[in-house]
Amino acid sequence: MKCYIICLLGLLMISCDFDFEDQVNEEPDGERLVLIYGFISPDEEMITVAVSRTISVFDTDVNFDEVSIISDATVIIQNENGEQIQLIYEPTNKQYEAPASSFAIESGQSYTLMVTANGKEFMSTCTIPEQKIEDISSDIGFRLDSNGSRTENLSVRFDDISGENNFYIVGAQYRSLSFPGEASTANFDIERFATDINGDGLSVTANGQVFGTEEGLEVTIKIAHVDELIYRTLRASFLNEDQESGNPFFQPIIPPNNILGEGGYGVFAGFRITERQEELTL
Amino acid sequence: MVLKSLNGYTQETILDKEISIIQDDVSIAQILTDLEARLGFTTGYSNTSIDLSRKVSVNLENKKLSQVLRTLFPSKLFQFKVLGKKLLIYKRLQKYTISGYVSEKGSEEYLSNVSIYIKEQKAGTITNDYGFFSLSIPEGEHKLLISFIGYKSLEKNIDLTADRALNFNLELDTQYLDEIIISSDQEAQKSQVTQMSSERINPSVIADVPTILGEKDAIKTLQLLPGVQAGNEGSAGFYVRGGTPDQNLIVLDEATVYNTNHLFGIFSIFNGDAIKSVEMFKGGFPARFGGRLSSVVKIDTKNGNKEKFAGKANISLISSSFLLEGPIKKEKTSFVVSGRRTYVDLLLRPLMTNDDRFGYHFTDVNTKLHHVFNDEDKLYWSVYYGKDKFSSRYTFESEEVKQKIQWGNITSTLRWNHEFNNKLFSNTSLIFSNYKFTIGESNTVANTSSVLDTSSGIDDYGVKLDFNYYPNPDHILKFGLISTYHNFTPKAIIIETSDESDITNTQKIRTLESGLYIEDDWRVNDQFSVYPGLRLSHFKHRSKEYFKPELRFSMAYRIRPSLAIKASYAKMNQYIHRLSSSGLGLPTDLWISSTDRLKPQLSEQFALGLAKDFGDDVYEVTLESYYKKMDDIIDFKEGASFARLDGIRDVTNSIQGVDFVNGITTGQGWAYGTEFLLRKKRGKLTGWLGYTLSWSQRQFEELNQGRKFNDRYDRRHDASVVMIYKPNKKITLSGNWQFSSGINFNIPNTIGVNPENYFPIEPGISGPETLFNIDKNNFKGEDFHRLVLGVQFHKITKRNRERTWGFSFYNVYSRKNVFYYEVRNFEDSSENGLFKSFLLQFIPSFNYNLKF
Repeated sequence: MKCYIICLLGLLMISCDFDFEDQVNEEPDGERLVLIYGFISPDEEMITVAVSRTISVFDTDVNFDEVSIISDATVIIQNENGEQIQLIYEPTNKQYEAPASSFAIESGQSYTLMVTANGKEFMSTCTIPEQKIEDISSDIGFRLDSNGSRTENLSVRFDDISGENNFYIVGAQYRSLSFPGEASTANFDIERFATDINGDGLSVTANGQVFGTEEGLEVTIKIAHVDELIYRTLRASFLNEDQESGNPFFQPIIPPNNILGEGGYGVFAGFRITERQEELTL
Repeated sequence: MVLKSLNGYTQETILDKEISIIQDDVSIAQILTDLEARLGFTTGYSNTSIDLSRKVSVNLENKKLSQVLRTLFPSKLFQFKVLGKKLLIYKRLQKYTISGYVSEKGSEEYLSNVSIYIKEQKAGTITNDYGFFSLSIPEGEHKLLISFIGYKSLEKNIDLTADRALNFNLELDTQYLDEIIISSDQEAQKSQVTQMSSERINPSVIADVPTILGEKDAIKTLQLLPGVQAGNEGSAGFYVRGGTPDQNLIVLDEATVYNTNHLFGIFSIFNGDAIKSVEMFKGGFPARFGGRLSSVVKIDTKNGNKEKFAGKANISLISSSFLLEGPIKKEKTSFVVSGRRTYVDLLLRPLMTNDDRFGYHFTDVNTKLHHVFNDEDKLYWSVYYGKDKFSSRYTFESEEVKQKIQWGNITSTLRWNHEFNNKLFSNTSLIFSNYKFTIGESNTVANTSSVLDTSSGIDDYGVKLDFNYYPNPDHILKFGLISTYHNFTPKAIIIETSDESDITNTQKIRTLESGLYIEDDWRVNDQFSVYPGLRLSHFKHRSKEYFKPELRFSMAYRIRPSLAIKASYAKMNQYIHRLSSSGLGLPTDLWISSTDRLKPQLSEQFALGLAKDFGDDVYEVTLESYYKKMDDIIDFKEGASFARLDGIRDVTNSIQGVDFVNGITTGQGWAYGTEFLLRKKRGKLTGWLGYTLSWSQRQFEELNQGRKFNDRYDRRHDASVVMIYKPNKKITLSGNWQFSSGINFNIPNTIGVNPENYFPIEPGISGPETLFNIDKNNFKGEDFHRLVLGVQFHKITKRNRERTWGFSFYNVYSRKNVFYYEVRNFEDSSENGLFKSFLLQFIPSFNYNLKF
């Protein structure tokens, strides 16, 4: 009987386990695009837009860090009144920036982005969300993950903004109360991306993995109420990276695009952000 | 010429001449002689059909000759005609109806689609789904031929002088036993029936066609037909003429089945032992079917042996099954019960520790009771239960996590057959169908406990009335109505924790779907037949109502006796939809309903084809081209749902995160192609060769930036060869080979900066770059081909039991058929390559079957 079981298991393992073969020669060549990300908010001190190039994933002898930068683009944002501001390339952050104090980004208002890069013109518009999250509560504890491993956990709760479909990005920085030093980032995994899908106006919870809870933590929680395009862009990026190996059922997600102009891709959209800092102990 | 005709028409004949006649108790012959003399005509008549010796009394004054004759021959069967000075008296033949049931000798199992044919009259019919037939033919002596492939034909001479109730028993023909029986209509040949785009499979085919791990699989056998394509390697989902799996209406004993897969699609839920017949429609849908766009698969289970107890037991590599049937009251009441269970979990149990356990199995149970009240009334009650169960338990000191995933169907149908008269048959069905998918997790950590339950499902409660009316041999009218109450639970979430307030959130959608239909299988003449139909479908969700008339039409024109041109048109609406995150038919897929915001899906399909029978009806060939346009089809928006299956919590999150209202986009689809099927139906070697050339495209406003794209399962070429060889009664050799063009994959082929780098909330883990693609289905995968071989050794034991050893060899030459592609670094460099992964290479298996 035991022999049969071993044979059966062996057979099933050999037959049903995924196996990998050598590379496929006829790969689908990647796109060469001007990639534009502009996430703007009334709650931020800087207005920023990133303009870069893409390469094919199968390109050889190409240093992506070197070729991706576009530092000579013209980036202009215009408000509903036709007032404009040009953003200047900042090499440290590798993006185009302007202080918010010189050009007001206001909730509920629409803005137009105009970019000239690689000899082509691109354009996009967005509207800043009206509201942001009011109250955030949190605590630390333990939970078992799906593999049965015990993990230290930061639980964040907030009330959904009622009356509309909402999309949120959740994050937190923390440092030990006993040994304050450089802040670490809580890992919310897929729970970083939250919606009101379970009911309009209901409480929304996200759990993130932290370390050092026994000494207590000082946490800075940030929750952004974002345009759906930002939610889908960041979530696509997270899932494409997270699931790109080992999940045979995963379909790579095509990120959204609201950049007009041939050869342009990316998202220009607005968000509101709420921040809360508190000390938590077990 | 016209004037001459009119003159002739208005001319007075001897029938209009008035005459008086008074006679008492004299023969009709004497009266006619008297009339001949007075009016100057002669009479002609047939001695065999007209009796002139009958004595009558008449007293008529100034009556036309026609009135006098009608007094002598009051029956309207007698007709009078004048040819010059000759009066012809003749009798039209009286028509009578023969009706009854055809069943299998020895078991009394009713047989559907049996041909009842009278060659001299060129008249015939076939039995309906419940074995009933009705045929109206002229009085007189006739020779009936009752035939059904796989059974010995029966000839019956009848002298028809009145309506007759006749039941026939057909005996299994051992010469053709287990021979391949795949025909849309056993009455005659493909060229003789109006219906096109349909196929029928009998259980013997399912038993003989080898599939994976020795399981008899009806769905995988269907996948070998042209126009029907499998999904990924190993999947039991099927794609018919460019449709999606949720566009297939799968009906088990009149109940809709929502989930047809076990073990993520490697097996279908239909236990081959319990099946009586499988019928599939790919187009030209009869009006009695509706509610899905792409196909109808009708599966009927056995009624049970009314004569004696019988059964089957089967043991295979991963499962065992049984079937038991017999009479509860002989010739009146019968039962059948069959079951199947996999046992890999039981085998693995001794190898696991108490701290960490997991298990998976699936179960199917089919039961049926059949009771015959009398010739007019019969009752059927059938139940199906099927469930997949996965469970796991992890413990660490005092902490514990228990997880379970379950999904499955329950269907139950109560049917009442009633014969109103010998021309009108009815079936009334009360139908229940349930599909439920649940995920449960309980946690006990640090003295706190929590329970999380997520589920989705659907409950159907339906009533269906079907009538079959046989006015004459040229028409079979079918009409009826169906009404189904759908109770959807797209998502139900219960979270209970010891230190927080409980959360319960259940979403419900309640709808009513109804249909009223009429169709007529009308044989206009020997060359031409039509099959028109109309279905009025109605759907109601709260105050929103959809009323959609659907026209159906098929026609056949026989250029030669065995060669027909066929054409069909069908309009279909679909009010319930499955949202699939993977397209693979995973249990995480959700069934949802049309609402005021989500319109029903619509399709229109045109088909044109040729059907020819040749080689003494041993061979048949069909060639069909189709064009299908689909509107308001649905899909998830990009990334609105995904299958993240790293752990049970991921599955739970996948379901919780699905936004089935805002996460959906609607669009349109096009599918067109040509199918070829050559089939050998009789002989030691049987089988078929199928080929499909097809295209399937989609366009959604919010997918692929609104541009048209090729569907994932857009396969240009699809071919299959199925062969079953029975050199003698002791051995069956079988094999099938399949070839398909590659399907389309999304391959992330572009590197860009990670947008997370530019958002002010830092993620926990994130790289500087991101991989993505901007064109949907941007890569055509490798071609697929696979050979499966099987051999069965049969033996009749001394106790007259049939014992079969079966061996099957899946993917004989170990073709590495791609399951998915992955972009990865080469081991020795930072450069990327595209790698393919595959599964289900060469798999040998065996099974042992005992029939008693």
